[in-house]
Amino acid sequence: MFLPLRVSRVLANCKNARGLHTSSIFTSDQLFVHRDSEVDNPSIPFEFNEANKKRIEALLKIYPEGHKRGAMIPLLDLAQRQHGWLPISAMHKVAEILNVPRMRVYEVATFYTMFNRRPMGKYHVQICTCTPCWLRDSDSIVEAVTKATNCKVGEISADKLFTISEVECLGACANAPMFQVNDDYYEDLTPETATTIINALKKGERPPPGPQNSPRFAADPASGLTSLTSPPPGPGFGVRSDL
Amino acid sequence: MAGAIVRNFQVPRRQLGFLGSSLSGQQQRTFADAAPEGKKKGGPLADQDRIFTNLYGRHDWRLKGALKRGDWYKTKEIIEKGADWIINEIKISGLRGRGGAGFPSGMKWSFMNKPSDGRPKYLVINGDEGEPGTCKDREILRHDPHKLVEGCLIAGRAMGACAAYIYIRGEFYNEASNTQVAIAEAYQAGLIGKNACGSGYDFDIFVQRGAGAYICGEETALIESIEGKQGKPRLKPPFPADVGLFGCPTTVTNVETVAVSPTICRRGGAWFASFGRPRNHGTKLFNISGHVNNPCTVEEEMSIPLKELVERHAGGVIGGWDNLLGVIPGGSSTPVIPKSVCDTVLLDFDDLVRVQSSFGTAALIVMNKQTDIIKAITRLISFYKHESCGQCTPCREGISWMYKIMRRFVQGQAETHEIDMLWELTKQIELHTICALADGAAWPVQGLIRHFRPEIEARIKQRKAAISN
Repeated sequence: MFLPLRVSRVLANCKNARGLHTSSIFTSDQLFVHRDSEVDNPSIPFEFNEANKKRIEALLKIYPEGHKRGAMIPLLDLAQRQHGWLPISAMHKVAEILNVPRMRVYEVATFYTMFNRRPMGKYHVQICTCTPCWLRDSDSIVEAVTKATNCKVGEISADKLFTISEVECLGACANAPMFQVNDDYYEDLTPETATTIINALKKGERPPPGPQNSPRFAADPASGLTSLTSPPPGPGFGVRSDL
Repeated sequence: MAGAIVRNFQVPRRQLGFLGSSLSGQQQRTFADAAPEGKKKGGPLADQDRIFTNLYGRHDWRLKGALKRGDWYKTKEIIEKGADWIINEIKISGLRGRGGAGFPSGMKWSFMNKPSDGRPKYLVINGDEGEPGTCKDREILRHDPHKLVEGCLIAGRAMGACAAYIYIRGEFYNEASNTQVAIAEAYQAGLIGKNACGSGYDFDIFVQRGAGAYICGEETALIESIEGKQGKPRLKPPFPADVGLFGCPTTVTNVETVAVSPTICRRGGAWFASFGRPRNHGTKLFNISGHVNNPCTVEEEMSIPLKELVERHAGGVIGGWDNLLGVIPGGSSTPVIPKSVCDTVLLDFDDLVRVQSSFGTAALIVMNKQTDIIKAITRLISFYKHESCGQCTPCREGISWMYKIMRRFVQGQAETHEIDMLWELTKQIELHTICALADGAAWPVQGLIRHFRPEIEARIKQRKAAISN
């Protein structure tokens, strides 16, 4: 990345050249440097709203004196929820509240994948394509979602409603395939139900999250319960006598 | 990921540092050889022996419902028995950490029980579950949060901790909300906070959400993350039990380990130890995903045969048992085992080590014969490539290399000798890094080469034939 542009172009053109370093910025899926733009530059002011200021106060209380920096991730998350994404001026604000150098905030904001440092659509659709979901045909879900939103993976749709991402495991593997829309998990998808959800979101509705094929409530077997069929035992069941 | 990236016992002892000395005696007679006496296999578990009675969310998860299911029953009496009693019960129960490495919990908790040097002690709960295949902690966090909150109190008492931080992965927003509500209810009912349960012991519990980094499931990375830094693992020693969160003694444990501890204390360690083979005691949440008819999460006895688990609870493999290709038995970082092994293998720590795999988090990813297994493993490697924190060169560069080679293997665009090259590469990656993420990335590839080498070779030949025609 420190190579002059001309040299790196020459290298990029040598198709048979084998680079020793593979972690250059060309192979990354995110831009790790900040570029000033009309919507994102340090001169745009950012202020937390009143409700969030109260939340910040409460958040800072859970960390011991001298370690208030621990609140960085929750604060960045609050800023992102308020603004829709995380502009550089919000990072500066967080640095100011926590009294740390700005660089410390940039470090954190670039490390964690949930911080979006570019404008996002109203609904961030994150489709899990990791192996357990892929085995249950998540490729068809990606296809259905991109078709229904008319938007490619990694881009914002023209109506600014959707941002589509392919993400790593979201931790709902027994309910694969699934995607996450903002905070909600939609599980057990088929291309049809995925399209239905996207269309409902377009109309401004919030379809009920959870498994989309009716017999399942959570991670129970679809064909009916194989365990926990009797009512749960009450207090004191099986408790040792010497307690 | 809930700490499945904790180094496994397969690691040479020198890597385990001071733990080596305490483990060595046990380790030598433990692994590879079959259990000497006691149960030979785990059977189906009866409903009254299940710990997570609201696993499927059919009942009320809030305090009222939890009380009705027997949570917070005689918690005060347990706390008043004292730290030694609790740790002894956990030791008797034979509970091993549920986050992947399977370290004996009683021993781990007792590391904290040193004379105080004035610093506060912390308990950190690892709910950063992101290992592909694993989705057990999610069910606890959203459907049985009071078991976790009560477990925090009891584990905290055993360690003499002043507070617990529950670190939940950022994507689990609704799950974290449920847990937060449960904590608020417990505070209001006087179960935690000042004078918890009326026992005279003060204990606070806080929730912190992560922001999407698998590596934060590694214990020291998790500590860094709570401190508001990049989640990059620290070099050990010093171990967290000496210098951990905010520079104070800390123990990081998995959600499930802590959530089962109240029931163990109530019903007795001997009750818990009556399940499973020796050294692999207890009950466990199993996640079954992939090519099965009914993917599900279920609590079962340890040492249950893999075939029985899949057929009883998951409705069998799609296309029948004979259509099985292989199973990844413990989350993505464990090596795949082929059908011939799956026929007989028991799901517990020792038996899976015997077949050169690992129990991990007990998250089974089942693949049938229609699967392109090379592509499946390649997808996992792309996961590790994405999640590597970039501190150690073997991991940062090596996993990218592995991914490049694997991608060519998917097409068959390679030479046969490159399979050995890849094997060599995985050997250079594992054990040469600060944390075990790189090991977790190397093992699936090793598993693939160990059991499915003919498949890779066939694909290379096929492509060569197609080109020469």
